[in-house]
Amino acid sequence: MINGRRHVFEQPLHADVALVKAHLADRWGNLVYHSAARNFGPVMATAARLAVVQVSAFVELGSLDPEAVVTPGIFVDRVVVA
Amino acid sequence: MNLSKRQMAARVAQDIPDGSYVNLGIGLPTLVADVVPPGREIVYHSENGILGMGPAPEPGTGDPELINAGKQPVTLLPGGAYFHHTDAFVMMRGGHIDITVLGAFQVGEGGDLANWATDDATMPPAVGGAMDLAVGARRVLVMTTHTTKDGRPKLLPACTFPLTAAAVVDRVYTDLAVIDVTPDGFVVREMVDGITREELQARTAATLHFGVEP
Repeated sequence: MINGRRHVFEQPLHADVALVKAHLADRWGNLVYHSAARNFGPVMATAARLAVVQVSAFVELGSLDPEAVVTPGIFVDRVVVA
Repeated sequence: MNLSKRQMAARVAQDIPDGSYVNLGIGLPTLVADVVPPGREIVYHSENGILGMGPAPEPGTGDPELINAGKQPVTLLPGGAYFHHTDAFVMMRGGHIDITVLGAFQVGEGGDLANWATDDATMPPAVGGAMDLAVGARRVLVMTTHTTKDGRPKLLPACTFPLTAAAVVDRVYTDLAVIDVTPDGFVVREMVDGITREELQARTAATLHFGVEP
């Protein structure tokens, strides 16, 4: 019950590995996504023991706007440019 | 004999590996950032919403909205990012922070930590993110003077102040010793020069064991 209304309780979802597609990454693993391809990427990166991210390009550390980073690098373990 | 605050910070910094995500608590622990050995890249987290926090700005050049959890002006390193409090706490509670260094009023021999409230009614309690850090960080290091200013022990069989978290502390760095919390209780790994085991025990309410690091 929350505020007098019945809800279904869902257990948190964890993953051993998350495969995430993003747009750009830097050396610390900070990510920005492109357009509507953000999907569940930011959420699953936080919920996985190992987050592996495919990006279209790797950029210099410091070139992503710190206000616009969607997934901070702490949630990212591997980056693949493809 | 007693280590200075800066010497304590330098001893803690030795144990922070290259590439770690680290949250430094308010007070003594913030000194650690100043003495990390050169060549180590440490990514500092602040629970108000910063990853990649840099040192204090030159006086007069700070941004009043770029501050750490202790409200002190800081800077952002290249690669840093800003986020809201919930994401900052996801990092802490979700086990993403490698190391936190926290101050303490008391540490229990089972690893209990009390660092947010005392029995002094004139001192308002202030917990900040300490509970979430203590439970969520992978490794919890405590940096504190060995005794209070009036000489009372801080390392106790059990804390008497309200707990921040139970059974979380991995290692305690004081101005006299480096002490691990183990299943057998406190095990002293290092002592400053000029103090005997008996003298250290006399300043500690919990029973101390002595042993080399396995």
